[in-house]
Amino acid sequence: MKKVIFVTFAFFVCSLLLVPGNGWTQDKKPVKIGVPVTLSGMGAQVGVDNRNGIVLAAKHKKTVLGRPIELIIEDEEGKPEVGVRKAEKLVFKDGCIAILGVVFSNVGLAVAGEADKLKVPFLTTNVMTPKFYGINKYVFRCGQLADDQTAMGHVMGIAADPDLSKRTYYVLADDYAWGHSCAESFIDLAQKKGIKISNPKYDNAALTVADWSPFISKVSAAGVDGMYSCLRSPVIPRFTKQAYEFGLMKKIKVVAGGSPSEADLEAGGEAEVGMVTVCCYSWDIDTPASKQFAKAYWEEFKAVPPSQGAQAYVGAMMLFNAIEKAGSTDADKIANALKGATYNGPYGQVRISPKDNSMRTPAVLTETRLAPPNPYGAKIIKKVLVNLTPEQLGPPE
Amino acid sequence: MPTDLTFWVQTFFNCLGLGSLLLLIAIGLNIIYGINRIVNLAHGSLYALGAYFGYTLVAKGLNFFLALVLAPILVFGIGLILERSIIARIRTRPMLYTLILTYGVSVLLDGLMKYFWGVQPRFISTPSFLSQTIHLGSIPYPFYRFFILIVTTAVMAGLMFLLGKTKMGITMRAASHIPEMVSVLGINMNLVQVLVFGMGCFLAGIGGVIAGPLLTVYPMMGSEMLISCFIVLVIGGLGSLKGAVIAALLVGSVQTLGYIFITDYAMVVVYVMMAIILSFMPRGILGEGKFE
Repeated sequence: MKKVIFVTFAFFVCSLLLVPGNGWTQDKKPVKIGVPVTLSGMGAQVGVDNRNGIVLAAKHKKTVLGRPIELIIEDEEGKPEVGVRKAEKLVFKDGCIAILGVVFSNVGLAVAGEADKLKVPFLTTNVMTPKFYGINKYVFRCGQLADDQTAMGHVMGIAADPDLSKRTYYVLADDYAWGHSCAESFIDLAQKKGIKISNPKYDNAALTVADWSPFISKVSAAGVDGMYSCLRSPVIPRFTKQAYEFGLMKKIKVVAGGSPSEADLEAGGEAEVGMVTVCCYSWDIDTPASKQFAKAYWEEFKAVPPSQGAQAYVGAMMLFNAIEKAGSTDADKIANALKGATYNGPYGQVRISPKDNSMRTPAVLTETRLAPPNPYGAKIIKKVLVNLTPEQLGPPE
Repeated sequence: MPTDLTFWVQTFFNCLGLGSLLLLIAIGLNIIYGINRIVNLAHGSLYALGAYFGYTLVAKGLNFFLALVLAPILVFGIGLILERSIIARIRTRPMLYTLILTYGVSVLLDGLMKYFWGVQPRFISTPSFLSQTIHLGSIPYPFYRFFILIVTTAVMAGLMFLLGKTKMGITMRAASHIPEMVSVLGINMNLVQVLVFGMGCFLAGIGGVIAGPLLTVYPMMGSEMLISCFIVLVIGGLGSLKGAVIAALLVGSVQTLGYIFITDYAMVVVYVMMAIILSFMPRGILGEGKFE
């Protein structure tokens, strides 16, 4: 009889311990973070860079709230409808407490449109459209610059350089949400600063363009000596290589509205040299934190430390820290903790503005050059020309 | 509208260049449809595979021109394996089966390319003389684009010779019209169909290696080109070689001029052109199935 009572009691105790929500089991349960990024199609390399940055951050952080971090990575294919479907799956099926990542603006806007339904914090580490400013209380931009911030950086860089400031710029943009906002942000600001724009109504290139020769001939015929390119990172080596073979790259200076990924620069090789671009991170940034990130990234992935990877790393760290600060996995508490949060990472001190949920960050104006010997085997370096402060890039709060 | 001569000369060659690239990629698809009556949705992936094989061979130190021969042979081999192991089994079923099956094969091949080569875009290195800019008088133009024209012309000439002057070609043409009669004459129709499928894959491989130095090599590059290739085939007349030549030049020209003059709607114009042509010539410019 005693044996039966003992077994029954033991079974009862074990059952209690295994009940969901019980303190003991919950302590051991991982904190699930959904990571939808583009892993197929044209934007896959940028997606891989973002994913790697987030994975590295999770590895460095190890735990939040004393619980392991579990990243559930999904391919959003760079398609808005897939992005929404994957975000819903991550939240409602997998039980993720936050969404982190998303590469393209059109996907980001689609997922942000579902924020009230998802009811979890959504932090994008790559979306640049200004439409993200204050879009929803759960939606944040952490890690990446917005288009108006890069435009400000470019305009400041152009205005400060006598060679760049006297040039006339032809604007060419990818025909989708980000391309449009990138071009419009630059044209608006450049015209106010007296920078000459050859085509204020700018050209939209279909996302399927593979042969860029019509555009190259058109830019040539416009007689300009500068070009502002709002082309997606993987398109840039294709455009510049073809333009290089037409001899166009010797005549014009390309300012890249969206900073190309390091892998894309490596693909284009010599044709990529001489491009001016603003980005948060370059492995040329000479600070201990920058070098430490570059070393860690190289050791983990054996790839050139990418700017998009650093941005994603920063975004992920800010989310993990906010969860700790919130002391809970409650969406509203995490969202509140993210407002005004700061983080000192590979490119210095960044902060999420409580006014619009977007990051204020330092950045660097760079020029692509042939790389000196380096531990990463990189052929191209984004050489830092000017350091830009968050106050310079704005927007004002 | 730009008025300088440089612009118009470049635009003329741009039209020819894009047209010839489309033709080079589409022609294998056309041959397979012309003889086997299979719409091979995996053709884009086989083209991408050719580009990746070409990239790997050149990266390993092989001469570009040798890679231009070897990579298509490898794609030919893959094509034979696919044909024997999968496609032959459902060849007699309705076309919907082959459409779905070849789409599945394309997804599989894209996945395998992603697995083996990753997602980083790559370019195939060419000998330095091919990447030079040449000058037509004072007009600069990349020599590689002329090289594409030369290769496409050579491939088309070879194909015309094969079809018009060799026993195999005559058999292929006969097989495209009345396959039952060819079988009755004691010719192994199965072998003809296998070889034709392999040849289509071989041509896709050539297209991939040729496109590699110009366009980025990446796993989904095939799907990017496949739609344009189908437009070429439908406008020219499914299975018609001469129709494909005309259609490729037409699509290349309309697309190029569209990007220049009505940038935002360039592809819309191509589709409108296709709709107009098909409304007057429902079987395409030279009619469906005229494999000659």
